[in-house]
Amino acid sequence: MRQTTSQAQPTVTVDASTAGRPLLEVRDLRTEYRSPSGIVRAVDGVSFTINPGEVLAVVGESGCGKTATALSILGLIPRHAGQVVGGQVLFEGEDLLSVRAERLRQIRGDRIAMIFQEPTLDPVRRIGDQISEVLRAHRALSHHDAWNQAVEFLGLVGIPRAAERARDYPHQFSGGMRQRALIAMAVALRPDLLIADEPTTALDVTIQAQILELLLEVRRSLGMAILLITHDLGIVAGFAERVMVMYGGRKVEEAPVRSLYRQPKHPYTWGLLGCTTRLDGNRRDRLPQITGAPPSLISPPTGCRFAPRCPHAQELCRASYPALLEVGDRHRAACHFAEGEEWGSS
Amino acid sequence: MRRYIVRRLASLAVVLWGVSILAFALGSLAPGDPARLLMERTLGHQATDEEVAGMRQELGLDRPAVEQYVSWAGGAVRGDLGTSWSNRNDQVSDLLLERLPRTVMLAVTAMLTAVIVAVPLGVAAARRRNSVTDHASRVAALLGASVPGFFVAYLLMFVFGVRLRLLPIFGFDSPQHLVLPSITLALGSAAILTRLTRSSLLEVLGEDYIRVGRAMGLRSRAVLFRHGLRNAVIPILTVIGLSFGHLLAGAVIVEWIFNWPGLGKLALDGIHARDYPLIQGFVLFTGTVFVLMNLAIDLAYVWADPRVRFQGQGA
Repeated sequence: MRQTTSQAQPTVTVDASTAGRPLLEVRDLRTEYRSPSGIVRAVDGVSFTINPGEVLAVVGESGCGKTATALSILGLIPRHAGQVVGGQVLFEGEDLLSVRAERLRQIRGDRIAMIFQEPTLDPVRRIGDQISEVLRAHRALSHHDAWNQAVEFLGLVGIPRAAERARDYPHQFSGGMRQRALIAMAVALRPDLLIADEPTTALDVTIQAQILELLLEVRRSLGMAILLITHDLGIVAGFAERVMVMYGGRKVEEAPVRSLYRQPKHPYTWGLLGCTTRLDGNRRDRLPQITGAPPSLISPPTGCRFAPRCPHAQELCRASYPALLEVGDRHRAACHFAEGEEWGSS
Repeated sequence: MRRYIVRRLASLAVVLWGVSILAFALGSLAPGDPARLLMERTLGHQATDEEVAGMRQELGLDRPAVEQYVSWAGGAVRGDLGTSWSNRNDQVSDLLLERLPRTVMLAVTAMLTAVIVAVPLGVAAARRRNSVTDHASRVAALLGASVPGFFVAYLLMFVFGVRLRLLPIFGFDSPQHLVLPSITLALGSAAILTRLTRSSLLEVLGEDYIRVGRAMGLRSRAVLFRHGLRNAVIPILTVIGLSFGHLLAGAVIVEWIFNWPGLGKLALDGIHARDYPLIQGFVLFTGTVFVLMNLAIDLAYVWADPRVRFQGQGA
């Protein structure tokens, strides 16, 4: 499979301590959107890596820049809406921000695929045709062979009577089935990385778990890395290996899942965890919440972006932006007080 | 699918019935006494009341309006629209059928011209939103939609016919005679279609499935045409169908200016002569064409949009 071949490639590593170079390395990514009231710095210097086969979750509120980050990786920021203004997106060492359009097209769908929040397909084409079309955009396949592969993958993602249902149009599928079909489309070329942007948010709660389970299953059989973008820390625990928390266009904390849940270092993460409902809690208690609204990214606050909403903010927080520091094993947080104190207890 | 077509046909019959009442009312509600006018034109001098009454009886105008309508509509159903008053030997249906191909030729050429110009222009404008192309097409469409046809007609005649002597300006003897009238006629539709293509394509290009196509590495050409334009074409089809009806109606003025012996010119001659059976026949006839065009659009929808095709199935 691809995973083994990529590991077998000669590794030109800078850091000799790691086994191979990361699959994806994002360095100091900056993306801006144009808005009537000014430039929105949606992604403001974000760096992270994903190793082959790894599952990384990116968590944050809407507008924190997590989707903009994902779209920037694949060059999908609409030209009229905004652009990537800085940084590097190294995919197996190749900077996707500076490759030619045709090269980027070849990578999309084939090496890096993406699924979105809304499970939407072209309403006027048969589902099987749409999957075949993606296959044929990357491989020299006959119509017939591409169709058969499409059917095979529809079966793999749990569409019953796949050969028959491949002839259906999207409106004949339920939302959950459409998301399954899109996953089939995304993994049909066995990509090395699947970016899943809120893949379950638009679906019924009962379907959400099924889709997540499907993603893990597909990953087990095809072995790709997954970048899961979500606002819901609740679904991350059983899914990802590492979590990156974003706030105001920046990374504020990053840790292995276990470490993040046990010892959240950033008050924002702490707040997010507090927001996940506890089944054993007192039902009469009001649900905990993070008061206030996310910062405007048009003219962000000078200090820590979370300071205006942070219950522990000091003068220092309002004055200077905290550096992202190592606070534990592979655990980093951007908070002036991350190392010193524990932020309360549940 | 079959239910859909049956439903369309049923509503079509109702609309045609309404059209026939309106067309008939045009004749009986119009001011003036057609019997007197006709008698005096035949005689060449003032007619006596007896003569007018005789003529009225001959034309059947002495009968109650409902009875007149029933016998007229009854004939119309069998394809008999009565005889023309200006030339008592001519059947209205023969006159219409004789002129129809010429007007259809003009309207079809105009429609094709409009589509061939407008769709690529609209696509270019949508692809490069707010570019020079976009702004230029906006101005062109605004001009095309707001400058009246008769002005354009005379302008074209002056430039291409009188100054450059490239094209004939009257009559319909050769294919070249088709050029100026069809351009004149196409202008308004082209303007509307350009704007519609742009807005409809822009809307589709903002859809999530377009982003999916790009994210999956489809070629931008495939995304733009196979998914973008293919979906944008659904509203465009509607307007093409509707403007075809307007082209037939708009042909009245253009045919008159360019002396094109089509339906429009026939209708105008009928109006000048107060030839009510001819006018009624023309109105009913164009109404029918309009309604049939609508049916054609509905059927085109079935082809263009699977959501319509499967309506009623399994519901």
